[in-house]
Amino acid sequence: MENFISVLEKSYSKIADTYFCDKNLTEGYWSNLEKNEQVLLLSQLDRKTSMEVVNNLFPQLEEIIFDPMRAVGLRLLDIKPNEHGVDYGCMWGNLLIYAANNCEAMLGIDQTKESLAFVNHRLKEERIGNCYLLNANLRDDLPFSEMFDFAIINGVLEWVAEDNQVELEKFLSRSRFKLISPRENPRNIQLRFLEMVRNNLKTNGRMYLAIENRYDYQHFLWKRDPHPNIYYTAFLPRKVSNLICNFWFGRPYVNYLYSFGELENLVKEAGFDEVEKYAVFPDYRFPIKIIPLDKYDNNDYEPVYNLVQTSDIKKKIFHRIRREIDNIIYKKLKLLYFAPSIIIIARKG
Amino acid sequence: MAYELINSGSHQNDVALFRYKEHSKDYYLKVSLCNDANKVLEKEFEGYKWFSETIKKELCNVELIKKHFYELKIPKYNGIKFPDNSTLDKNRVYVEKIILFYKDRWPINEKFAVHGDLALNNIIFSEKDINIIDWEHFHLSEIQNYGVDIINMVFILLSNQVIKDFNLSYSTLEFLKKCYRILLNGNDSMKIAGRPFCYARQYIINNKHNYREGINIEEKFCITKFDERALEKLDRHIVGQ
Repeated sequence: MENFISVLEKSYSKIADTYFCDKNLTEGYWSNLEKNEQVLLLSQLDRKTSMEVVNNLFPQLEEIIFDPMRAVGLRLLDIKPNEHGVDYGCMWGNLLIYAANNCEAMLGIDQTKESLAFVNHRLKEERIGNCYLLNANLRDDLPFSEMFDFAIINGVLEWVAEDNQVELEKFLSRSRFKLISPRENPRNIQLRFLEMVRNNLKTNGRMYLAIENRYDYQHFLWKRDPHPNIYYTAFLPRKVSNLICNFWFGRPYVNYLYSFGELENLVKEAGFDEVEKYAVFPDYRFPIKIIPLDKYDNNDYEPVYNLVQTSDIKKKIFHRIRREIDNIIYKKLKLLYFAPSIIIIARKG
Repeated sequence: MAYELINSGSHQNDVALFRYKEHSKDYYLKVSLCNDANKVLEKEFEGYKWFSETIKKELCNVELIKKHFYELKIPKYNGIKFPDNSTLDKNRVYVEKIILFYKDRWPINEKFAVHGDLALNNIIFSEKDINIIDWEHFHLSEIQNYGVDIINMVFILLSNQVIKDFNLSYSTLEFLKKCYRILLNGNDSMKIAGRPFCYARQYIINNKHNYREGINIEEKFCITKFDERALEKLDRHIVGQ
């Protein structure tokens, strides 16, 4: 029976343990590092372990790349040892490696060749032989119809409509460099992507989708919309956000976030049937608490944050206030709809 | 089946704690997220098994699921539970109960073991029974180390009260003396005899290797943060020297 591995062999070229498209190699780029930093990182991997290199050059990325707790949400997928899975936008491979350890075979897809080279190095270090890497653009049609038991989309949906190469720090700095506008409404691009994800799942296949919540209450107060890095665009009507983004960046708002309800609608529109919704604290990247939205018992809710001890009195006051507001919103009023992040487990019927 | 993540990595051990329902029964699921954390769960399972078979004389109802990353399935024990910041003075009845339980049921033979983190918040009191959870520091030990768990528990409760130089009230001191008497019952061959708090501190420090791998003892166990002289003073009050 044909599986994703035979399709990879048939449809793509294998270079240095990574599969590439024959026609034209994708020129996509999305990374926490700038391109020259990635080159530096990769150049040192033949002499030291990946953890040593990261600790030495970019210690701020250590947790993002290596912390196993980042993958804790994947337990919701209940991955079985005989299953095949795919991680769309696998980046540094943190969730990909966790999943590969739990299933029969795993495919990691990313548009950034440099990230895949890093992941490939990590796979060798960890002696993981059941993980395959593909360099591809997630907007392209991928020929894996009904081949996966589960799919992971972790912090990717909001970037799918982004045509620009993203070197994250540069991208978040609010300089008015010319950005490419999306070719069409970002929601349509996201919808098509989810349809493709669904199509690549077997019947009863599950999708793990993690993203920031558009209506995180902090967006209304002190928190910037994390992608354009400006205030209020997350929750304002798209037309208003377009105006604001046009003013700052010369292009409309692209990184669409959703509320619980909007995301459920989008996922169902893409053809998924059963949808379980979870509120995630303090965010989906480093989840500490994940609460099923429909079965919420508030008795033992406590605010959780990944905080470093600080002696700064202003920060301490801010943390205290935020804690109190969290208690009021999530514990007393039970308004989980204002949680910081969302995880959705959706099933293809 | 909807899982709820209660916390993850709260003890810097790469173990996450979920809760869920199965056939209308509540369970906790401890999930390892790396190979080192597998060892933590394996050790914890040994603790549950020891407690069931040695203390409760029944089959262990905790299950270790050995996938690539281990999982520990623990039934929810109903009963009275205590918060982390419980104090001694407000919980004397329960402290006495657990000391009596320990005295009656803990084996004083080659099966003697140390829970390692016997705080009140790891004990659940039901009408008929007492259950103890969080066995990740479990280890077999010599009988002479009898009582170390109890002394450590009492110290945690004490440290949650406002203590300045251990100037405790008369009634607290009298209660501590009573606990000490019940626990030892005149048996001076145990190492805690004469210097309970000092010995408990020394035990934890000297037996670090028996506790969970990679744990920062000083951060985890408040008794190890205290100066030995301060503990000697407390010991003198209780032992009555």
